[in-house]
Amino acid sequence: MSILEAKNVVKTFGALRAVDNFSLDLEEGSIVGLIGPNGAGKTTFFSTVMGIHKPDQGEIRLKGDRIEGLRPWQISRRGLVKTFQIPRALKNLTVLENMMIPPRNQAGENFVRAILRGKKVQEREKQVLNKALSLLQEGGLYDRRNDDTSELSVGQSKLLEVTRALMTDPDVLLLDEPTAGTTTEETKPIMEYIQRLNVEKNITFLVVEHKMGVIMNLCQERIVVLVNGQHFAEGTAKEIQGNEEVKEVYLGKGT
Amino acid sequence: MIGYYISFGLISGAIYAVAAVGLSLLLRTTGFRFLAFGDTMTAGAFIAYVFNAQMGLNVYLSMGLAAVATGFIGILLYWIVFKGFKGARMATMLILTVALAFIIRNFLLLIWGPYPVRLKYATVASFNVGPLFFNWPQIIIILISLFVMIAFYIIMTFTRVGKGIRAVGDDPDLAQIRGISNWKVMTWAWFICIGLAGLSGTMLGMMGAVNPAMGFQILLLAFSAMILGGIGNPYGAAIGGFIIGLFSELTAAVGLAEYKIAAAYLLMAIVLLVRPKGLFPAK
Amino acid sequence: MITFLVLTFALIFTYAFAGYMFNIHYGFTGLINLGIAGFFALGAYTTAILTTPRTETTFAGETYQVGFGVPVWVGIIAAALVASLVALIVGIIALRSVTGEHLAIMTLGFAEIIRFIAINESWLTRGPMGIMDIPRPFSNVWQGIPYILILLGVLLFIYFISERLRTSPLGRVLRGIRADDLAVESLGKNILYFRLVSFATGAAFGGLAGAFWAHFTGAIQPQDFSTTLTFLVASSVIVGGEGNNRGVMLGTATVIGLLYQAPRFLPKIGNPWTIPSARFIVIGILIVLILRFRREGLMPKQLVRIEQEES
Repeated sequence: MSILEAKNVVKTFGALRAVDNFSLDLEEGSIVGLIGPNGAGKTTFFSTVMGIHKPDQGEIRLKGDRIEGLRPWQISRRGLVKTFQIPRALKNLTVLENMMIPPRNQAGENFVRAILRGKKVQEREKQVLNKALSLLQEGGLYDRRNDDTSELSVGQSKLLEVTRALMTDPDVLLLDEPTAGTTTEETKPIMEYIQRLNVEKNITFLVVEHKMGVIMNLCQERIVVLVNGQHFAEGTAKEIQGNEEVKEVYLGKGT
Repeated sequence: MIGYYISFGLISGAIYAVAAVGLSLLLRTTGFRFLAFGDTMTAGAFIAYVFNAQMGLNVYLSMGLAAVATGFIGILLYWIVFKGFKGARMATMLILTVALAFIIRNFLLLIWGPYPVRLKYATVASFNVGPLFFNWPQIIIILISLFVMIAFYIIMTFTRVGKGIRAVGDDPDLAQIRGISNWKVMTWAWFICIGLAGLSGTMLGMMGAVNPAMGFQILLLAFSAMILGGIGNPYGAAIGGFIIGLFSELTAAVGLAEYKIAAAYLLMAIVLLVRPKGLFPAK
Repeated sequence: MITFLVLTFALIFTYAFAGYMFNIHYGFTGLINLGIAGFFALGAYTTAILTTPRTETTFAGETYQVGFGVPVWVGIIAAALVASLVALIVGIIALRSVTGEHLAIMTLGFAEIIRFIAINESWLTRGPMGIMDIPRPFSNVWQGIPYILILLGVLLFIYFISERLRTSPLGRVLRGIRADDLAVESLGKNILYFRLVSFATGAAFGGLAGAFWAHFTGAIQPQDFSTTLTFLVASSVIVGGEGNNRGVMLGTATVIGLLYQAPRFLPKIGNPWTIPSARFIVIGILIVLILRFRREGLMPKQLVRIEQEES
């Protein structure tokens, strides 16, 4: 069952067609890789799906419902969240606070209730707090929970991006370069975490990556190649690795 | 009777067109809204006052000198203040410009006191062009305004400096890669934009009295003109200037003279509701 | 001297009160409200119009009837409501642009319009003369120091509410929006809604501050509500520490006490306007320096650390 369907999506910025008639079907429960040279349009595609941009043409369906044109928060509430290439940790807030923002139906978000803090508010706070703490423990950030996010390393920020997104109970996660800038020691735990989440929580992943080792390992069953905003190639990790044309596109032969 | 108001609207429009062009280009080049612009206009008027009323120079010569002087103030602002704030958040820049507005305005207060000043020029009888009434200084102001806008267009389109400014405005990083020296371009941009402020401020001083506290009111009009005309588009801003000028004078024509500024502001607000980017936005 | 202290403290109190509004807007949520004077004026005029005993005055040949003689506490509540309602309207227009850049200039214009209305709509506001004989509770009963204690008590209450807000889930979302609105929106929060909530509730504080000022001085005029007031309030919050509730008090005390009032004791050099303008230049330069070298203001950065009880 396709949980996310993008049909003939076009997104232009002025004269540049960043996403050019691109289609993609994402099967529920899969981990699919999206690769392509710099400027191929991967991040733009993600942003368009997430509602940050409105597509000029095309349809995007999440669990069968059309989502193009909706605002990011509406799309997020329907179960799709994207992480950012450069982690957007909320500064001047602790890691724990970052984690406790996403959940819905927080009584404490009402002004009067926020001041009075009755039983309802306190109980929900406790719920949210416990969920945040357990996710932090799974992800390995528990010890940093009360630290300023500006003190985190790149790898930890990336981890926070993912862990924080999990607080929304998403069905689909779009990860934009989850291991960019991380050291080799930090990369492995992130990869394993993604695989665990996929199996244990049945979260569907669409991952953009530049580290070939990571993507080939993570998305063995399906990788899509995007070049100049268009669908270029698709196949299993093995097939893509052996694909001469894909190699050319990356090595820039004949540019 | 309405002829008076329309001609005043044209003159006012010409003045605010020049101001809005400067404001718009500054927004485009620096990326933030320079809320001290109104006070730099007032400063220009006062500098012109020094040349004109205190040193006895011809009013148009004073205008040119004042424009150049305020242009240098612009360069000073860039080098002393804004250069050090690269990469700061928008919110910081806005507060910063407000603080600068107050500093400039209180400097003017310090030196000249709270009294309004008027520029001295030969008063001539007015004549009519059809239903509209003008006197020569007013016509000259409109002509200067048009001349300035044509010169602006030429500089922006054909000279190296102008192309550089446009490149930096469109994409600062790309401009840097292409070897366009950022600080040179910025210096020129600040000189031109604040110089335009000084020029339009002097014109305001010719048309009426200018006092140091007027900064924000002038700012509102210039801003309304810029946003109405289209964010990021200096030529749209010029058109916006004329629209605002005419509209505010027409408000006076229907007897609501005290609400001129409020009317212009409301016009901007209404336009923003319908077209959030103004009438002729860039790109 | 006592009266000077009382006045200074009342000034600090009023500006700090308005400062808490600016802090909710800018310090918590990142909204630049340059119309502080406007909300302040709305509150002051609302309560003045409602609570002044019905009087008839004649000025320049025209007769005005102003005042409804309503009890003071009703006037104060009305002040808060009016300010919030107007903020909602202004916010809906100005907050639609995602980055809220429009807000700065829109609020500036809004404050100027309020001032124009106050000056020109004499039938409502008695024009440039302003409204006098506003009831002044406690002024006859308590003089001097006890009055300061009352003001201090109210101020501490406001501080308490602001702190509650800051550490609450709502405060969390607002601070998140200030830090990165796109990230918070991607996590499922309707940021336009939260910005409006922040704007409207903060405005209530501003209206209340204006109302208190009206009932302290007993007389208000349109020129009391100029951009200077906005500048002083904003400066106080920025100097003290944006987002920091204790910073608001520290900053206001510094800016108003030290820089605004204290120069009155300096020898009168130059013209009558020399010292007054000079102190604004000093305040302005201080702001520039703080923004450049110590963005967070005088008070140290304040994180909300959550310690859980052992279950």
